[in-house]
Amino acid sequence: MMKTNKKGQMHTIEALLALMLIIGVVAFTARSAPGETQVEGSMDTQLALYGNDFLSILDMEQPDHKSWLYYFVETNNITGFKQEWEKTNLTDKKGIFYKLELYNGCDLQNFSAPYGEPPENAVTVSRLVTLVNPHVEVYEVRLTLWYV
Amino acid sequence: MRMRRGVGDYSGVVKSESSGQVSMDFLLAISIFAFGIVILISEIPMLFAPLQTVATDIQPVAYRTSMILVEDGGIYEYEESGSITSRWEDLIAQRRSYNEVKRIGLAMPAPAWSSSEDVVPNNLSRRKIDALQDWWNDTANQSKIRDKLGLFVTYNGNHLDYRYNITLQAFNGSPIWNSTSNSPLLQIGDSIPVSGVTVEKIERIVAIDNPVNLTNRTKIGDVEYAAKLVVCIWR
Repeated sequence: MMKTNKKGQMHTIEALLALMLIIGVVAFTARSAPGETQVEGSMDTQLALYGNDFLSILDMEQPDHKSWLYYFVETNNITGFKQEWEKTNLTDKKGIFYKLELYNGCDLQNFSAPYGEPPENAVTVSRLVTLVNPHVEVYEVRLTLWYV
Repeated sequence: MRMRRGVGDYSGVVKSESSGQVSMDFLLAISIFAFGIVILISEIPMLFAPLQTVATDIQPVAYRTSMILVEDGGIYEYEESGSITSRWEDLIAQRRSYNEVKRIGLAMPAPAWSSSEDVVPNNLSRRKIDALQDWWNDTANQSKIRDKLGLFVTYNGNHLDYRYNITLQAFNGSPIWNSTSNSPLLQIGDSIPVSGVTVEKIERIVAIDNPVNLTNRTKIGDVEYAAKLVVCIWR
């Protein structure tokens, strides 16, 4: 006849209960942690401002109603963008990288990713450029920025 | 081959000892306590939020101030007629009266050929920049700048007085120098505290419409003179 130890069963149940309680506390703590701190929000705001301001500067209207960005889209001169971006020192001094994409409607026409693909927390801004010669075509210049 | 164990030899035998176990009461108590601590910590920001509105709103104020300066031309209201214009820099020069300035903005008026309606965002007017710097240099009236930038407000009956430092800098971080006056082109406000308070900083990339006699020239795109407007706000 086999003799069973009831005390041993109780220890196993205690261990399982303790494990469940600990896992519950850890899971609850992890879920309670704030997803985005105020500092991160502030950094995102600054990135969006850098991006919008830079595109706005490039799209500054001239007396012929065209801009540097207009000719950039028209000629598809992706390399020229990097030269202008580097003048801001944002990569050298602030560690801000970018990816540039040019869309015509939903179609990606060209892109430049000199610093690789952006991470998930990157910030994207865009500006519409309307080409009027010979047909009216609306392009979207999409600039994604992130801190290293 | 089977080994025979001698008397008192317990090697290899796991001995169950119930006194070494943590009791269920203790486990339950510590878990409830841990839950309580976690809930308290997660709720603390919300508990104090109503009392901290003054301290947590610095970043939006810095953002708003930069928007006013970069994307707005300002408002001057004629006292006699009530009509308004964005050419506040000309009118304070003519009338030497700052009270009619309702808001300071630095964006230049749109040229006649421009498709912009009123002002050109991100393109700062040299005349407005010089007028603001002259205003700051007029010590009798420099305290009014804070009001015109929306940095003295009333919230729930309390006066909130923000302090500021606004400069135009080249992209290497040095102030843009006006070689005519031998002084910074725009450097107004208090000295930025080194420690003790939270200082919120917002940088904007801007163009300056008339870069005559300015140092550290950087041309970006078709813009002859690009720079950074740096706005720092604290309380």
